[in-house]
Parts: sequence; C-alpha cells; structure tokens
Amino acid sequence: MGEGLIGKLDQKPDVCWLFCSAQKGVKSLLKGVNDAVDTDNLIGCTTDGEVSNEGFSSESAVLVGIATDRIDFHLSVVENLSQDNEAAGRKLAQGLPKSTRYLQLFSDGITSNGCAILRGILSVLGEEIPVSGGTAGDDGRFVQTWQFAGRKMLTDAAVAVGFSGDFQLGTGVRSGWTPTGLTKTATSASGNTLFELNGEPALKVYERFLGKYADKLPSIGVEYPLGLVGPAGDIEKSNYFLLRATMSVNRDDGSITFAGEIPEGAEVSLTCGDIASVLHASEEAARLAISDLGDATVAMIFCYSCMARKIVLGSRTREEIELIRQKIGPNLPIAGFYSYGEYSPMRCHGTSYLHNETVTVSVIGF
Amino acid sequence: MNEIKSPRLRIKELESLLAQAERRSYILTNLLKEATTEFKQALEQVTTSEANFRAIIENAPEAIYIADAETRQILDCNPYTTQWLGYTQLELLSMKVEDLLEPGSRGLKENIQRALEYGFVHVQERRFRKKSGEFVDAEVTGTVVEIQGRKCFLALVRDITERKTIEELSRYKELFDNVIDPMIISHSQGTFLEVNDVACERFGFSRPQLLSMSLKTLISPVHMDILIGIGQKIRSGKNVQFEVDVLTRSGAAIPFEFHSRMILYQRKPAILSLARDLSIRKQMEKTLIHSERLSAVGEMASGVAHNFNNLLQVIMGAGEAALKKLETGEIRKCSDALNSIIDASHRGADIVSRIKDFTLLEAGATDAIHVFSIGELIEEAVNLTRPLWKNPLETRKYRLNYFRNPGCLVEGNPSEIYEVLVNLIKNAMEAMPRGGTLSISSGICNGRLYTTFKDTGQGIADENIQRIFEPFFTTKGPQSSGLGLSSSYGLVKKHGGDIHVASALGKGTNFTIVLPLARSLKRAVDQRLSAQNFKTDTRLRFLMIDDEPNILKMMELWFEDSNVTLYTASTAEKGLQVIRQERFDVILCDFGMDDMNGLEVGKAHQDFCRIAGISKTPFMILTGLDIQLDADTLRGAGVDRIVKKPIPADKLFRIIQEMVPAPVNTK
Repeated sequence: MGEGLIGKLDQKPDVCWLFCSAQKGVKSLLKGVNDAVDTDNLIGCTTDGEVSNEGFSSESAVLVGIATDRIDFHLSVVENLSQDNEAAGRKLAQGLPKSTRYLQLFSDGITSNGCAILRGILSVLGEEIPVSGGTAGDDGRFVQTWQFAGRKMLTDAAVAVGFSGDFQLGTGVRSGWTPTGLTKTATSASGNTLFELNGEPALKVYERFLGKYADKLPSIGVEYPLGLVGPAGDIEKSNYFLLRATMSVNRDDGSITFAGEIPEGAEVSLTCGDIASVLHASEEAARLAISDLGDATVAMIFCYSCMARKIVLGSRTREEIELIRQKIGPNLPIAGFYSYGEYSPMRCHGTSYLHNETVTVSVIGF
Repeated sequence: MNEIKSPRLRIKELESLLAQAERRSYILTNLLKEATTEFKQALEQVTTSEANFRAIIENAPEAIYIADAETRQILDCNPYTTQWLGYTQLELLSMKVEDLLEPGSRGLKENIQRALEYGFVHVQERRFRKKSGEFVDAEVTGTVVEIQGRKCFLALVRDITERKTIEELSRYKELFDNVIDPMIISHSQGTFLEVNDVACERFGFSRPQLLSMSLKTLISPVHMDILIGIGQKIRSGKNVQFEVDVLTRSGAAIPFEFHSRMILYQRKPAILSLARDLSIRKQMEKTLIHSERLSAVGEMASGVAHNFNNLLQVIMGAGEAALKKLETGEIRKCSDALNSIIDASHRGADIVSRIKDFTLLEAGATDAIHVFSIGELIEEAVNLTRPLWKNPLETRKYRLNYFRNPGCLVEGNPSEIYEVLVNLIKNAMEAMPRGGTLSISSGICNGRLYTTFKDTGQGIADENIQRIFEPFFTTKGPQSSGLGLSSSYGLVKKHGGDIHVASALGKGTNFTIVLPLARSLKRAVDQRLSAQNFKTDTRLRFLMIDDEPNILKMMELWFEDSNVTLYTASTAEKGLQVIRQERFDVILCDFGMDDMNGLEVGKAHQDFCRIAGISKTPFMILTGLDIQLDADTLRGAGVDRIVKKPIPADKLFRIIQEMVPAPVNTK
C-alpha cells in the first residue's frame, strides 16, 4: 500500500496518515507501510470506519500522504494516558515546536479522557491553537484500540502531528441533534460520569424518558445523546451544543458514564435527531469549513466523524461523506475516520473541544 | 449515487428505520409529557407568585411606581401612589418622575444611572409634590427591572413626614431637657407651650402649673413694662435679651436674664427663651472682684511695705527725737515729736484698715461714711501703686504728676473711692507699657469735684469706648476680669457722682471722676482728748488680759492719770483666777493667747458668774485679726463687744465708759 502511495505522489511523502480497522494484521500492516514510505512522520490509529477518496469504508485501511515544502510536520507521542491524561496532554504539547499552528490528535478511544488531554495541550500551546482529530476506535467492540507513531504501535497513548508553516485552515462542526424538553441540572457529576440530574439519579431520569426502551442503554443513548445547553456547552451562542454520548450505565448507583466530561452544575437536555437532520448537519459542517477557510484554495480535506452517526445513518452513512465532498470539491483528496470522540475547534481561532456524535471537517488550503 | 440493493437488505433497512421512528415518537412523547407537567407546575408557580406580587403592590402602604429608566416616564403605579399624591392613575401615567418631585430636585438622572449600574439605589430623601401643591418628605429606594426588553426603574416611596416630625422633636427634646438653664417655649402671645425640668425646679412650679402660665404671670409686676417692647422685637425676628425678677413659688424674687428668639415649633411660630440665673452670676462677680482685689493687693504688697517703712521711719525718728528732747528738757519739742508718732500710727492704722476694706466683700463692714480729703486719698493711692510706675531700674520710664488742690472734701466711703483711684491709676499704667506720663489733678466747679487722670497711653478705640464700663468687657486678654471699670463706675455712681472718659487712639486717655462736694467742711477730727477731760468721780475697775507685756505696760501708763483702775493679767489662767477673786466693771481680754483664746475665757467667765449667781461683768475681746463672729457665738461666749487692734487709748477709754452700766458698783 505504501508503494501505491509513493507512486501517486511521485515522491516520498513528508507525512503520512494511516487509519485502519483493528482487525487482524495491524502489526504487519504498519511494518509494511513504514518500510515502504520510509518517513518518520507516520501517524494514525485504529478506527470504527474509514474515510478516503473512495468514500466511506469499513474494515479497511487508508493511507494518506502529503508532500509539500510549505508546511513542516512534527510528531509527538505520549503514553500511559490513563495515569494522568492532563499531564500527558502537556507532555505531548511540549514535544511539539513553538511554531506549531495547528495539530491533529489521535488518542486511545477507550482509556483516554479527551477533555483532559486537550486541557493539557492548550495549557502549553495556548487556548487558541486549533486541534483536529479523533479518538481511536475498534469497530465498536470497545476492547482495545491502537495508535501509530512511526514504527511504533501503541495503546493507551496519544499521538499528535503538528503543522507549522505557511497555510490556511478552515474548520466546521455540526451534529444535527437538537435539545428537546426542559433543561435539567447535572447536580452531581465527576469526570465523564453523571450521577444525578436535578437531585435524581441520572439513570432514573433516563428510564423515565426511555420507558420500555430503557434496557437498551447504553446503546440507545447514542441516538439520544445528552446536550450541554447551558453556558458550559453553549459555545459562543452559535446554536451549537456540545453532545455527550452514553458509554455505559451503572445500575447500582444509577450513574451513567459518557464519552466526554460532564461538568457538575452544567445545564443539560436530552437531544433528538433523525437521519435528515444528521445529514443536513454534515453538509452544514462542510459549508462552515469552507467559509472558515476564506479565500484560500482547498488542498486537502480531513473528516473526523462519530461512530454514533454511523449507527443512526445506517447504510446511508456514506451519504455523509458524499455530501461533504460535493460541498467542498468532489475531486479533492479527503481522509479521516469514524471515531469514539472528535477533536475540533468551533471555528478557526476558537478553542478546541472534544465532541461526541459530531462531524468535524477540517480543510487545509493555500 | 444510489446503489441497487437487494430487496432483503432494503426490507431490513426499512424495518430498522421504522423501529427507529417508533422509538423516537415514543421517547419524544415521554419528553413532551414531562415537559408539559413541568411547564404546568412552573406556570402555577408563576401565577401564584404573580398574584402574591400583585397583592403586595396593590395593598402596599407605600407608593410603588415603575418608570422607564431612560425617559423617566411613569409606566405603572399602585393605588397608594394615587391616594398619596392625589392624582388619578391616568394622570400619573402621563407624567414623568420629575413632575412628582419638588422642583429643583437634583441627582435624578444620576441616581437612575447608578441604579442601572449597581442594580439598586441607596435610600434617598426627596420631597414630593402632591396635586394640591403641598410638599411631603419621603424616602425613596429602588431597583432596576426589565420589562419587555426595556430597562425600568422600580421605586418604593415611603412618606416620612411623621418620622421627621418625631425626629425633630426628639432632637429638640434632648437639647431642651439637658440644658442647665431653664428653657421655655412659648406661644407668640406669651403662654407657655413647653418647659424643661430645670425651669420647673428653678421656678418652683410643677410642669402643669407652669404650662398654664405665661411670662407676664411669672415675673415680678415691677418689671412688667420691660415686656412691652420685647414682644414686638421678638416677632420682628430680633434676638432679645432682658433682665427681670422672677417670682418663684416661694415668693422669692430672683433676678434672671432672659434670651429670647423666634423659632418654628411644630411648624408654627413660637418663642424660645433661655433664662440665666443672675444671682449666681452676681455671686460670681463678687468672688471675682474679691480675688482680683487680693491679687491686686499682692501686687502692691511692696507699695504697702514702702508706705509702712515711711511711717516707721517717722515713728522711729520721732521717738528718738522725743527721748533726746526729754533729756534736754525741751518738753514742747518732745510733745511735738510724740504727737507726730501718734499721727503716724493713726495713718498706719488707716492704711491697714483701707487695705482690709479693699479685700472685704461685705459692704456691711465698710459702711463707714466719712468726710474725707480726696487729696490725701489720692496721695495714698499713688503711694500704694508706686511699684507699678517706679521701677528702680528704669526710673525715667514713668512720670506721675500729682497736682495737689487742698480743700477738696468729699462725703462718702473713703475705702470705696480709694479703690476707684487705685483702679484708674492701674489702668493708666497698663495702657502705657512702654512708658509715659500720668497726670492727676483735682478741681472744683459748680459745687462738684472733678478729678482727672490723664495718661499718654495707647488710647481706646471708638467702638470700645461705649463698652468699657460693661462688666466683663476687657481688651486685656484672659487674665483681666474686665470688672475694674464697671465696679468703679458703680462705686462712683453710689456716691452720687459720675465717670467720664475721652480718648484718642495712640495719643492717650482722660478719665474724669465727678463727685459732689461734701456739704459740710467740718472735718471728722480724731478727738485726741486728754485723759483730764474725762475725769469723773467714779472710779472704774478695768481688767485687761493680754499676753503681750508691752501692750499692758502702755495701757498702765496711760490709764495712770485717769479714773480707771487698771488691773492686768498676762495669761488667760491668771486672768480667770483674778476674775474669780475680784469684781470688775469691765473686762478686756486679748483674743489670741497661748493658753486659751478670748472666747474661751469669756465662756469661763460667763459660767463662773452664772454658777456664782452674780451678774455678768461686761466682757470685751481685743483682737488684731479679722475674725467675723456671729452674734450667737459671741453671746454663747459671754462676749459683749469686739474691739479691734490697734485701738487708740482714748477710744478705748470711751468704750469702757460706754460699756459700764450706771450705777457702778465699786468694791
């Protein structure tokens, strides 16, 4: 595969992305690619679905390379995330040069706390540095995910590639879910776990809404993610709400764990979405990314979307990618994957967040 | 790009879509149900709190209104506002906040601005204007509310008229009650409206009694005419001051000085009066004058000493001369010398008594009316004040010219006039701190005696000339009591005279005392009657007890040739012994002796006579001290008379004659 890439580029790439399914043969795949491309700047992870010029695919591998003299790329790696996510984030950021203007981050989707890693990174590189990317997946099995940096195959790690140089960036995010019903307060929460809503155990509240479908948790929580609607989530009042997808429930203490942090005291609301709104969101995200880019010409598209959208869209998932490509440029190169959580700023020059159930589009242009 | 899917796949897809849709509608329904319930609850709560809020506003005993924060247009108000201000709701809604306030109210915009910034306004006092035009005082507080997107000011207004009145009254009351003088608030017609406790105490009436009286009924009828002009003056806004005698309950007339002025009492004109008890002040004045006199005497001690030195010189010299002339047998010259000694002693006695008079308070003790020579008095005053103007180091500093004019006789109390003279000389010297000349002269014109004191001192300013005779007025600073000239004025007036003053600033001042000439030119001559003139047939037995042997010796010498047989005792004990053994016609005992004082001797003598059943012999006490003994004490000690040292022998002789009742028992 590596050779194929070099063939397309007509030269050795300066940086490569490798996204692949976590099924068998990852190790050898990695080795093979490395041998072929012969660059240290190889970055990537396992996923829950891949995005390429072919569109959406699953149980596949995608290799992307860029050769350019206008951008410099640097890699940074940090392991043992689960010991201290925030410190890891700081360490990761310290591994990148100060000239970094933009970075893409891939962290372990099962063991990492994306919000904490981001906090660490932002504390070193500044609040305004745009971070795109996603958390590594494993085809929805939630067993183990892998991250790639050069020849290394890591787990419980975070890898980042920093872009510095002369380029333009545009980002857009949209989810398609809208808050429904009255807001409640997360009266007791810690990290990714929500214990109580308005003084009641979170699980009890959810069961009231879900009724007979309550036993389908946590997976049904993916269709109806929790939206942070108060100031904690209402980012710059642009009608965008940070979503949180349910990951697991604890029937003993009535708590629910999500794929992102729930700040205690935050105002939350159940959200609802359907295929139409989700797809519309994808299109909207793409449109936002282009308008964010401004006058520059798009050279490359990165799309990091959420596996939750895959569940909702079902067989129409590839329509999402198609819509995005159509919006931006059908013949432009695109790469990305379906993750367990997405990193993206709301827009350029805004703070980056960890999103759930969201499609993020980043475009690089000159 | 639509791919062709197998029908099975499609059906599966459709089924899952259907299930999804079903789920969604179910969950959404649940959400909606919950939302509706919560909404209903919230609505209920809002409605209830709305109703409560409305109730408060509608029924509040305060004016509540809402005005637009920018335009200050009144948007809404509660019923109390309409009642309180007298406008209808419609009228109020067409007005702005400033229309409600007293014209000229400041800070309105700023307050609202501040409220917008901080969210509330501190309590402010404002005057509101009712529809009737009447003004009311009120406290305003407010907060900012947002109504339909507009920033508005919600104001709560409390009428504080009553509170202010109470506050004012309580302020008044405190002052009123705590002042140490009687204080009265009266109607402008005079009846008392309020009196403080001190007034009740001092005047001796209870509060209900006083409140039924007026100043007319309180003061002595003698002073009624003083009140006539006062009322008008007060009503014209002037502050008046007048002295009247107040008739207290007990009937005593106590002089009070009233200070009165117009005030507003319970919003109506009234008169506020403060009464100062003058009896106290007069007492104080007396004490002050006394202490001034004492200090003046202290100042002049050296002058006194000088005077005495002169006299002693005369006595010594004359005594020595007498001895000499005795030896040479020139009896005439010896007699002359002795006369001059007696003269000098008299003079000395006079000086002593004058100085004593100068420091005594009781007029009773100094009521001696004499005909005396102003000239002699002036000379003495000049001598007394010598230290003031004769500084041995600066002999040329002051000059005192005294132009003698013989035959200037005045009838009156020489000690009092003496005081006036001393005072004027003192003032003249004080007016010439850098030196100058004081000229004193006397002259007679139209039966009146004019004595002038002319100094070359700093002079008196025109605005002060009117005031120099006022009590306590002084330009000499705090060490001067300001009583010198005022008391001098009083004394001169008492003698039927007057004091005139003329002055030029920087040049000097002229004081002129005018006194009526004595009606008779007869001089009160000391009757130096020789013992021969008084020889009578009856021999008097006279006992003298004194521990000063020289005095006894002199007495013996004198009485040798008279009809008085003198017995002497040199101690009280010896005296009492003699008293018990012999009978006498009159006894004179020295007051201050070592073993017993005169009073004790008198008492012992009285007891002895009582026990023995014999009538008490007249008993006199001789003393050089200024003891003031009341009649009861004297009577209790059996003392019939006090004789003051030094006493000329012939005077003593006469006294003895007076004391002995006729007929005389001779033993």
